[in-house]
Amino acid sequence: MKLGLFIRLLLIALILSVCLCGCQGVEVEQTAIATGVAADWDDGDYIVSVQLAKVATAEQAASQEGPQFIVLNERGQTLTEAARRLNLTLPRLPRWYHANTLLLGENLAQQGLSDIIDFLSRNPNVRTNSLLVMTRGATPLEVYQLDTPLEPFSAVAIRNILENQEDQVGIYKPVILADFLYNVATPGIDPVIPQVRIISDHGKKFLTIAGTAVFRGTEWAGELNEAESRGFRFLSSERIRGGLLVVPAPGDENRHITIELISSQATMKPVWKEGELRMMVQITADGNFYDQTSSKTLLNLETFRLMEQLSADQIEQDIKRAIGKAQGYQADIFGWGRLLEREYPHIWSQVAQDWPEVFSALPADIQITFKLRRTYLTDKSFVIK
Amino acid sequence: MRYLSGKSASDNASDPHKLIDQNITGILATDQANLETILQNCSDIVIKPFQFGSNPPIKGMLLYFDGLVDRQEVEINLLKPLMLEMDMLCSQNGGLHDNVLENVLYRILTMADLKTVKDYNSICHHISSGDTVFLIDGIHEALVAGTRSWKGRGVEAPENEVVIFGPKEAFTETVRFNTAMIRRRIKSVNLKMESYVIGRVTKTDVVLCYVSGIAPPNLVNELRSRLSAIDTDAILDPEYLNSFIADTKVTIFTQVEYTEKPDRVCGHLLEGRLAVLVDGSPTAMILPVSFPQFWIAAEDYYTPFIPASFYRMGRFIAFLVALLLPSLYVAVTTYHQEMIPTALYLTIAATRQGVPFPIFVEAILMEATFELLREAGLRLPRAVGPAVSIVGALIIGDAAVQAGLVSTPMVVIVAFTGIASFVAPNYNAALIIRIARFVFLIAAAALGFMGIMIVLILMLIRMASLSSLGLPYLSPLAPFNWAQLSDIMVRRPWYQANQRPYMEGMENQVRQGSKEGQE
Repeated sequence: MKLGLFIRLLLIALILSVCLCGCQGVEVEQTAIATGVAADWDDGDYIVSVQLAKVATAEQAASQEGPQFIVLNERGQTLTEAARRLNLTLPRLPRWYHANTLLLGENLAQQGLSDIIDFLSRNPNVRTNSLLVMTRGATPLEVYQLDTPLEPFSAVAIRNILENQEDQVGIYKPVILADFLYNVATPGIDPVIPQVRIISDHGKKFLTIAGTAVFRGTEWAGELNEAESRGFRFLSSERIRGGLLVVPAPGDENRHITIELISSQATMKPVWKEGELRMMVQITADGNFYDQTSSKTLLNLETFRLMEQLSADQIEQDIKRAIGKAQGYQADIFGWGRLLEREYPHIWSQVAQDWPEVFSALPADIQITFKLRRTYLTDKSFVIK
Repeated sequence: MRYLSGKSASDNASDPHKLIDQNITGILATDQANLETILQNCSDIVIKPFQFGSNPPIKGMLLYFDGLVDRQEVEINLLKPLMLEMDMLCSQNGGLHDNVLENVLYRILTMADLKTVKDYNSICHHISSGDTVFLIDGIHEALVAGTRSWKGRGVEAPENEVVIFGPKEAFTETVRFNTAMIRRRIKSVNLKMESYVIGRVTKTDVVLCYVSGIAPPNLVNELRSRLSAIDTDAILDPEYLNSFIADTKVTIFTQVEYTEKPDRVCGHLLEGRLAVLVDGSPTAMILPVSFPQFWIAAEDYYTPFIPASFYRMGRFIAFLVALLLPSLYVAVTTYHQEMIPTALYLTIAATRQGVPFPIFVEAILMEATFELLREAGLRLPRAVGPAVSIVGALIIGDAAVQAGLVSTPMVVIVAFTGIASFVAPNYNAALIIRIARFVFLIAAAALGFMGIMIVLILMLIRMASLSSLGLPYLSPLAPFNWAQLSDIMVRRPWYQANQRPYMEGMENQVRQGSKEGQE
């Protein structure tokens, strides 16, 4: 009898829970999916732009005229207001969880990121693994409205470009929202965001990744160019894979060889010695010989060592440029402050207050070990008769 | 009731229900009158009074139900020796009238299966079973001759458990043939077949089979006592028994396995399980069984172990698909849309344009339609079957989408689920998932993944609390037993299967490879 009562109560609880559950299910066809979301600032108002995919099966999409998306723009005094005001024009509920590109407008970034960080970290609709990209020389609206080649959605195109370039060219490091928020919130490390630009070629517009925006805390500090961005990538704390090194050919200054980077690991450590703080930077990298622009036989033991040395020099050069630029901006994008806190907490507590100044004057000892591993299947160059 | 019991006391003698408990009087005329009263309105009874011997001739009477006996045998082995050879015997030895019964039993009748009974009740039971009863004037006993023979279905290939390899004979409706099919495979006197007669009206022969020395004696005793405790009118199928002897009676989880294949029964017997055969049903009931065993097909043991293991694992995946796929689809599309790849999301949204029902209603509609089609397909005469499948496939699948009643992904989901649910080798196990699937659907529509998890956990709790003749229903998963699990998830090659699956009380677990296992 008691068990029967229990089961009955359980049933009632279960049936009631159906009516009481908090999150309401929404039918798929009553939603609009955002492929990309953007935040910008203009004249005292926040602007939220979303790129919404038009609902279509693959078949319908292929036969459709014009773009497969619509871009909406709304202003508000807070970002949430702007985002919600989209519902004034949109007959469907916009859903952001498929948006894996998050664009930040140049204006907003120069205004300072503190305004947007709260929104990004609080809002449950924003994926924390979405890629963060800053627009440069264009508004997010323009970037989202752009009809990119091959890929119907520019938001997806940006993501694909960023991911592919890291493997193939190895210049920029994609930044996801979670890492960005972590870097903003942690003392001793400053965030960076890759930048996207619109370029024009014979009247046709394209997107391209150009430079990395550097922030000092939440304030915009400046940008890194390609070489500096590459150097910055070598200094990231996790192992990096993929990328190219173009170094002068041994014995021929005018010609170049291509080395493909397999992987590289940076080990950075602050050293406190005789009242002086230095950064030890050790980089262990592996690469493969990829091609050459001459037909000289390069692959012998002697040139092998030389090529390794040249590659190491190339990496060192990039790293030095990146460090120089970051120190110039007083933005600790490498996280050296955090490393110092771990290694010497007592020193960190002394210098934390004026870390940007300390960082900008911090000398770095760079040591690079580059190993050439393989040459793929061709060892001698093609000889033209 | 009143007019039945309102008969006067003097009528007691002719009340067939009272009369049947009496003993044979020994006076043939009275016996004949009594039996005719008992058997009144039974048009298929044959009562043949006759005389045999000479100086003076002895009166006798033969009783049998027409259609249940081998008439030729009755004539050649009963009537002929009595009516013709008794004379010869009498003339040779003379004066054998003194002990007619012994003479008839031991010297005249050429049949082997003979015995005597003393009361009308036994007579009636035997003639109902197809025996021929022979009464002799002046003798207080009746002779029973085993002449059972009736037109039954021949041994055919199994219809529900179709196999590619392996034995292709199935049980029939006659329990004696069925026991013979088992006996032919296990040629050991340790194969025991205990006979029970259950059912006050039907008096059904029930046979309990086990291999003594392998089957745990406590299980055999337990099943014996449970079978003996059954008191009911009729047993027509093993399921009648199951509903009396199951450990837990009100549950959708069947705690026995039904099979129509003698080889499968033998496989189970040799692993120490018990089988119950019921006369009149071509299905054997096997117990104890655990839930994971429902996903083992008999054929697994007749195919090489690598492909068998591969398909067995596939079957477990199909089990999960059949159970959860529609509810996962409903939960994902209603609550967890962030999980769908963007391109698929757009496709689903596009195909859902203009569909008037929520996804949950769509799913319930399609699932119900599919179940109806399946149920209709089972009962349909063969000639109409293809028509229904065409209607089912074309009208429901295509036209419903064209008419905008359901979306295409839902049709795909339902079709895939339907296929997956047919993978279960055991029909009863498939029924369990079919019912549970609807519960999962409702839970998914109400609470999304959380609902599915709640129902899944409740289902596991329920299953873990069940047992089949004392064997935990989820074993070897819970209680966990790695050695046995390796024969559930994959099929161990026979040379490695040194031990039988363990059951409580099992005395002889070694199958091969060790001296203790040899008998």
